[in-house]
Amino acid sequence: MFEVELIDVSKHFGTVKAVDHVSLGVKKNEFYSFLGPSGCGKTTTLRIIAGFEDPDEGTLKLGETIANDIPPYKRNVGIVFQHLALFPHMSVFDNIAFGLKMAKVGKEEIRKKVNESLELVGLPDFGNRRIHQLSGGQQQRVGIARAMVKEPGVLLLDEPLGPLDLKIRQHMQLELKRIQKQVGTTFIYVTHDQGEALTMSDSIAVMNLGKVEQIGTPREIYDRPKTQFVANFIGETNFLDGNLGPSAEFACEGLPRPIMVEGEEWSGEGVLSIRPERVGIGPGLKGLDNMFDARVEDFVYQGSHVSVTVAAGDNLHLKIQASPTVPLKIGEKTHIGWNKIDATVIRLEKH
Amino acid sequence: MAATGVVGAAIGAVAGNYYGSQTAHVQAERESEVRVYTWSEYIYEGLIDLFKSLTKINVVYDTYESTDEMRAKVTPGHSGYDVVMITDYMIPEFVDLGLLAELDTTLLPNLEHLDDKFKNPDYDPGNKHTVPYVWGTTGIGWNSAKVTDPVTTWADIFDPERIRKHVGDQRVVTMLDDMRETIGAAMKYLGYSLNDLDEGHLNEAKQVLLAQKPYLAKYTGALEYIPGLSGERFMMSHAYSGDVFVAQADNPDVTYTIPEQGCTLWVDNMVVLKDAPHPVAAHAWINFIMDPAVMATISNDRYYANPNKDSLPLLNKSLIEDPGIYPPEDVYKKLEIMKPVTSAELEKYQKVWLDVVG
Repeated sequence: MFEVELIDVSKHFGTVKAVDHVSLGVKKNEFYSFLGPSGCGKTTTLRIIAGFEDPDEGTLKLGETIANDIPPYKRNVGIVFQHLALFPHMSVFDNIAFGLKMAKVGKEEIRKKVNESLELVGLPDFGNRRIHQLSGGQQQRVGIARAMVKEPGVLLLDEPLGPLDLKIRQHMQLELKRIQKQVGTTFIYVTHDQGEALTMSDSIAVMNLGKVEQIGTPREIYDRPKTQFVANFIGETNFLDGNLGPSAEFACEGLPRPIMVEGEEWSGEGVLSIRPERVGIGPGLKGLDNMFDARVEDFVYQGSHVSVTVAAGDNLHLKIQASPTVPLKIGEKTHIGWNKIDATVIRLEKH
Repeated sequence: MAATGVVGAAIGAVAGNYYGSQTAHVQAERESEVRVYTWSEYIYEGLIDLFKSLTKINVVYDTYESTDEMRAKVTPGHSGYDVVMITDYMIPEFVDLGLLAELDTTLLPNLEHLDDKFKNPDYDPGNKHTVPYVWGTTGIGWNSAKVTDPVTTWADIFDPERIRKHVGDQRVVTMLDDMRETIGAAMKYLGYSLNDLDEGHLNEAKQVLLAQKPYLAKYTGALEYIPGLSGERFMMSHAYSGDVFVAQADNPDVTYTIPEQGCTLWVDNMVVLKDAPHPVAAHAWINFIMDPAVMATISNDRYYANPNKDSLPLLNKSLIEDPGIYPPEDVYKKLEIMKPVTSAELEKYQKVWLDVVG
């Protein structure tokens, strides 16, 4: 059973299909991300789960209950928006207690719950501080504590780390993951940042133009992208056009022999995707399933690695992330190669 | 009133279910949205998200730029809005048109924070239809670096001798293009009430305005005088208090003065429309705004005084100590709220106004 399930859900705004036949299931205690560029439908999907939008078609289930007609306030769902709206003139404690006071919760219970939630977000002694005395990351934690104090079964997070600097952001990603694991609340997280989604999620639904392109673990999404959009949106990749034969050989025009692949049980027109960091390079390269002669066209030193462009076979260009220790000279011949398991073939849809 | 019971129960259901402490045995009509129509730049935006996440009521928040725009959209009815912001003197017109719902005070427990001074106003006896939001004054914005002597009284902007002394013969002074405000200012200069309808007094006001006119750049509104003051195209402008503080944020030489004779005190009010699609959610929104912490956040962010006595301890010191925002008691006593007028009385103003601007 899923904690949150969307079955063939669509939502239109005028002629725009914001959410287009989306089906997905979020398990209890899962950290689930909706990932995609702006306008992909991820926020509208989140708003449908919250109850701020009614789906035009399809079914929303919360647990075993069909929730399409359940008003938002009867759904056991909390929300954290990007705009935290903390009260700058009030203490951390009063900020977290605000919603509980509004709901006329007793004083002792408020004290207990607020202190527990402060403990949870790693700010146990911060109750008396003022908001303006806190760093951006600490304010973010207060925002999370304010949402968690209501003990929602599902917490929806709408790009809450957006305004933070990269360093604090990366730290908060790990913190959010820790908090989620500790309390076991189901988190549904909306983001356009692939790194963020890969770092935190148990499952990711990659969305584009209102549709779900692929659902999977971060590893599946990265290593086995099912569409060109997913391969391209998540990380960098090389695409090679060709045909997959019945014996797991991918014939690519311009290469002297087919590329051997693994785990593809179909044949037909496709696109092979190979990540730059999975391609080996060097004159002494050996022992890989696929090896080709190539010529170094350009390279840029980037600290931890070197970004190399090579031309292989009949002028096929590939981007490669190489170790800075690999000897490189523009115009010189070298070898490139990769193992079967490192590439994936995306089937082209017949229209 | 039978409706009150249902409505009250619905609010109980909102609070209860939200914390999971009550079950949904109450048959409440689904009100998961509130539609608010208000002046632009009039709230700390994060509060909208906070309300949404705390109450699970979605907020559609639309804004208007002028009273005319609001009037055109709301007065025909069926605007689809629940809560609308309306300035004091316009309230009776909206009541007469039958547009405003009577408020259910059982849904507004935060009314207890309302300062007595703002209860039972002339424009809405008994607060049947309105809850005040923020208030301000209509005085003079001026450039303290360029105007030679401090501006302290209406004479500084009305007396041709003084204008010449302040800014020479350049036309760098503006008055509001608002009939009631501008005639009212001239009445205050003359020592009369701005609600005085005596024809002799109004005629004197007309002479004052005509004598001032050659020195004016123009009669204009906020869209022009805010950048005009901050960009130093205008040196003195008859202006709404909050607007001057907006100009001041760009140019610290811009100063706001409540003239010695006193001036208009205006109050913007939250009302619920009679045909509001979500009357319960509308009350929940108004009650949320009336929370002292919420109100203080709005004032601190937008530089407007508010009528919420329990928000005072939460206000920034700079705000509460600014006599232009929170005038001291002796100045406050000289402020007047504009009285609504009958159409016959309105004509008196229009006659003067046409002679001045025509």
